[in-house]
Amino acid sequence: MSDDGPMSDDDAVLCRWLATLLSAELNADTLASYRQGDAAPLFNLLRERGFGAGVDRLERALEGLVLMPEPELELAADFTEMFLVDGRSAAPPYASLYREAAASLHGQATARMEARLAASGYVVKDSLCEPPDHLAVMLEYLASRLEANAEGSRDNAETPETFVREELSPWLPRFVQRCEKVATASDLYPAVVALTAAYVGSLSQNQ
Amino acid sequence: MTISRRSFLKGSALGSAASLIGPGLLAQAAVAGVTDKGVWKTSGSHWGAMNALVKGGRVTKIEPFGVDEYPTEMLKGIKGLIYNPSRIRYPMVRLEWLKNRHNGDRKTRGDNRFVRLTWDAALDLFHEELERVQREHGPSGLYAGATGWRQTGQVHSCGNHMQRAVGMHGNFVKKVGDYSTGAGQVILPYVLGSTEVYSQGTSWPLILEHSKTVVLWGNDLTKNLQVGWNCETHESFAYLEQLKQKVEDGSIRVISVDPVRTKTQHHLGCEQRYVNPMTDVAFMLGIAHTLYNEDLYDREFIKSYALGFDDFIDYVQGKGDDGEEKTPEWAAEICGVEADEIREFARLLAGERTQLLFGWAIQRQQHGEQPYWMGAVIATMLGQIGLPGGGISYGHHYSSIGVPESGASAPGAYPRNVDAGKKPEHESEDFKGASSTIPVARWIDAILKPGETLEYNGSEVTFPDIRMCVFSGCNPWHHHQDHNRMKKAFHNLESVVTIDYSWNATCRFSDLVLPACTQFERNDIDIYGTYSNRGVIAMKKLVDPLFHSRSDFDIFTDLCRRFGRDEEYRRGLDEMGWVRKLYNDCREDNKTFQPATGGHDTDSGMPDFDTFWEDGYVDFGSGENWVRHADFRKEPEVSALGTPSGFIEISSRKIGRYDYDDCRSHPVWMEKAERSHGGPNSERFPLWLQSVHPDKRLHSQMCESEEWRATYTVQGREPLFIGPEDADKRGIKDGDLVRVFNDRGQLLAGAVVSDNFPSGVIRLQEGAWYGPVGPEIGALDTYGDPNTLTMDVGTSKLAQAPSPNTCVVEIERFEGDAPAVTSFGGPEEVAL
Repeated sequence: MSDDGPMSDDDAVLCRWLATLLSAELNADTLASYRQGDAAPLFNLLRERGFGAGVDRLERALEGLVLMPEPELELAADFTEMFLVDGRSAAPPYASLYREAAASLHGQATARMEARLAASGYVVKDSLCEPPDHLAVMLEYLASRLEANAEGSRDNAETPETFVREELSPWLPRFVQRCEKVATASDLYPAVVALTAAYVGSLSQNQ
Repeated sequence: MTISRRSFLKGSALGSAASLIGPGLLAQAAVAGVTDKGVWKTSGSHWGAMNALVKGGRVTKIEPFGVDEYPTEMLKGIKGLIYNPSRIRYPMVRLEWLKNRHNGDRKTRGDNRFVRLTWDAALDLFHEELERVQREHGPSGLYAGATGWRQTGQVHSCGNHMQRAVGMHGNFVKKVGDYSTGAGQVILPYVLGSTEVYSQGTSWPLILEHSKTVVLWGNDLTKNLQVGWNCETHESFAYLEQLKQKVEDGSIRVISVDPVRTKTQHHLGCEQRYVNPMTDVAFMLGIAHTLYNEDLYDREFIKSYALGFDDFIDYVQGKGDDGEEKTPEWAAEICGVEADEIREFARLLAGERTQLLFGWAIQRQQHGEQPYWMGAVIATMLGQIGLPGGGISYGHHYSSIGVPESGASAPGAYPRNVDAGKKPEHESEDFKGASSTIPVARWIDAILKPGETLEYNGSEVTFPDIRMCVFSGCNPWHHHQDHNRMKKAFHNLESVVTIDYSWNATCRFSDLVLPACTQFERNDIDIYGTYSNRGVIAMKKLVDPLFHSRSDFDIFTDLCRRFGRDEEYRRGLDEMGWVRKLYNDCREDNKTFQPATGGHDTDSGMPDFDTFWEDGYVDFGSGENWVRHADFRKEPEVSALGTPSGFIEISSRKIGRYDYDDCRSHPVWMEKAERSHGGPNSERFPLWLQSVHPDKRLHSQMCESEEWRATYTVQGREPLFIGPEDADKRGIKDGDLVRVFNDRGQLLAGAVVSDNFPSGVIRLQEGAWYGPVGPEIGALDTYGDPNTLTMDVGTSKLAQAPSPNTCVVEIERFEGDAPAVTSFGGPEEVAL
C-alpha cells in the first residue's frame, strides 16, 4: 500500500465506513441500501486490496437476511449481543477491556486516546456517550490520521501505521476471539468484525 | 483543521455508498489539549467515607477519609465498581418482550437476546406497561414494593424515587419486613416491645467498663461492621480494639457461641463455645433449666418486670404438653454441648455482669423467632436488662450501633410517597379482595399461588395476582431463596422492569433494564457514622454518569413527564436544589443542638451550605453513653415496653391466641425440616450450608468488581469453606473445584479447606452472583450462589420470614470440563 494522496484517502473512507458499522445499529433505510447493493464501491475497493474472502462473507450474510422475517430487529439484537451488553457473553469494543490485567473500562488505553484526541483538537461527540477507546472512535481517529498523512501534514502526531501497531493490533485479535463466541442470528456482524480486524491489520504495514 | 470526508475518487465514484458513512463521532475540541493535574473530592459509601482523586475525567485513586481510623479493605474495590465491564451502559429491552410484550415467551427469561433503546423509547415502554397493568389488572397486579440496600445518599435514595414515581402513577402491592431481620423484627415487639434489631444499643464504653462476660451469640462483628447502612466511619472498631485488650488482660471473658471459629474470634483472641447448627434453642433451654433448678435466676426482676414465666418454666420442667424435661442431658443430645458444660455455661452467665450480643444469621432459619425469644428469656432470667453492660442486644454488629450518638438530627431523604393532597393518575385502591401488603419473603409464593391465603402475624394475607414487578436498586435474585423455584414463578410474570447499574441476575431475568449511574456519578449528602450520627458528609460527584446511565432522579422525573407530573415529582428542584434543601432542613432541625467534644466549634450551629460543601463535612462530635432499657428498669410503668402488657413477655398470650403450631405462646424447641448433625435428611445431606453475610462485599454489591473479586475467588468461583475432616473424606483438596448440591439445585464453587470449620459445617457467603448455565430449571450455577440450594419457606406463621440457614447439602469434587462462570461482564475466560 502506498501513501499516495488518493490511496490514503481511500483508507480513511474505509475506516470511517467501518466505524459507522461498529458504532450503531443499522436503521431500515441503511439496511435497504445495503441490500440493494449500494456498498459495491466499498466492496470493490476491498477486493482490490485482497480482502475478497471477507467481502464475500459479508455479501453472503446480506443475502441471508432474506430468510429473516424482521431482519432490522434481528440485526439490532445481534449488534446488542455482540457489542452492547456486558462482557458476560458479549465483546464490548473498548481497548481497555482487553489490554488491562484486570478487565476494566476507562483504563490506560482510554487515557492515551484522550491525549491523542486532545493533541489533534478533537473530542468525542457528547451525544455518543462513549469513551475514546471505543473501536469506532479509534477508527475515526485513524481516518483523521490517514487524511492528515494524505495532506502531507507535518503535525507531531504519530503515523497511521504506528497508531495501528501500538493501539489496535495489540487487542483486536482477542476482541475477534470474543466476538466469535457470541451466538448471532445473522453472520453479518461476525463478518464485519473479521473484515475490520484483517483490514486494520494490513494498515500496520509500513512502506 | 476541518474534518473532511472526501470521496476516494474525486467525483461521484463513491456514489450511493456515501450514505453508508455516518456523520462522524468526533467533534472539534473547545479548548486545545488541557492537562489535568487532578482534583481531590470527598464522598461516602456503605463501605466508608473516602477522598477520591479525579484526573482526566477519571477516578484514579481512592483513599480513606481522614476521620475513618479503621477503613475497610473493600475501598480497593470501588474503582472496579465504577469501571467494571458489568456496567449497564444503555437502556435495554428483551427482544421477545419488545415483539410480543406480555404475550411473549417467558421461559427464556434469564438467557435472552436484548436490544438497545433510546431513553425516550424505554421510558415510553415503561409507562405504557404501567398503564396497561393498571387498566387491565388494577393495583394488585403491580408489585413495586421490594427494596434493597441501594447506594448511599439521602437525595438519590433509589427506592424512594421509584416508589414515589410509580406511586404517582398508580397504587401497587407493598411489602412488610425485610430479609435481614424478618423473624427478629416480628417476634421482638411481642417480647421486648420494640423491633430491637434496628435500635440503638448500650454504649460500648459502658460494656467495656461493666461487663465481666460478653457472649457473641452467632455474631461476627469484625466481619459485619465493615459496612454500614449510611456512610460508615467505623467508630465501632476502636471499641473492638479495647475489647481485645480486655480479653488479653483477662478483665472480660468473651465467648463466641458459634459452630465456626469466626473472624471476630480470631480478631479478639476470644473463646469459642461450639454448638450444633440450628440447635441454639435447645442449648438455651438447658441453660434455663440450670438457672431455674440451681436457683441462679433473678426472681425479683422477673416478678417486677416480666409476665408469663410460670407457663414457660412448666414447659422447661417437663410439665408442658410434651412432658419432656429440658434438662442439660436432654439438650446435650440435640445441641452437641455436654450436659456439664451447659451447666457451667449457665453458672458463668449468672455469675457476674453479662452482656448478650446476638447476630442476625441465627434468626434466618426455620423457626427463627425462637432463638431470639429464647435469648430474651435468658436475659430476663439473668435479671440484668437495663443495667450497664448487662441485658441483651440484637444489633451491635450493625452500622455502629453501640457507638454513643451525637444527639444531632440527621438529614432527611427524598420523599418516598405521593405529596399530601395529591392522588395518583390511577386512583383505584381496589386490590380485588387480595392484600395490598405482603410479607416480603413470600412474594414468590404470591406469584405462584395468587388468591391463596397465608397466616401471618395474627392475621390472614390473601395473595394478590401479581403480573408486573419493578425493582430499583434491589437484587431479589441475590437475596431470595431457591432460585429454581423463582424461575418457575417468573414464567407467570407478564413484565419485569429493573433499574440498576450492573448486569446482575435480576437484570438478566428482566424485560426492561434501565441503567442508573453509580453514586459516584452524582451529588448527594449523607449522615456518616450511621447510628452514631457523627456528622454530615458531602458526596461530591466524581465523574459524569458513564455511558448512557442516568441518576434515578433523572430517570423517574422523565417517567413522570409522560403523564405531565414531572414538576410535581421533583417539587421544582434540580439535584443540587435537593442537596441544599436537605442540608438546610437539617441545619434548621439542629438550630438548638450543641455539639459535644470534638464537634464543629461554631456557636451558630451548622455552617452554611456553601461552606459545608467546600469543607466536605460537618462533625457533630461524639455522644453520651446510654444504656438500653434503663428507663424501663428504672420506671417500668412510666417507661413501659411496647408489648401488650407493657412488661417483658416471657410467654405471650397474644401469640398463644393465634394458635400457630410453629410459634407457640412461649419459646419451644422444634425440629427443623432438615438439619445436619443427626437431624432430618442428614443421612442424604450431612453438611449444613451456612450462607452468612460476606467478608469482602456488601451482600451482592461489589461482587462484580473484577480486580477485587480476584483477591478471593478460587478458580474464579466463590470460595466454599470446608473443614479438613469433611474435605478428606471426599477427596477434596484446598483449591479444588467442587459441586454442591441437594434436591433443590446445584452449583460450582472453589474449595477452601480451613480448620475454622468443624465437621458437618460448610459456608458459602451470600451475595455471590448467580450465573446458571441456562434458563432451564435445575441448571448448574457456575459461580456459587448459595440461594441456588436454600429452602423457600417462611420461618413460621408468625413472621413468614426467610429461612436460608435451614439448608443441608452434599458436596463432591468436580471432575471434567467445568463450564465458564457466566455471572459477570469480564471478557476473559477462566483459566482452569
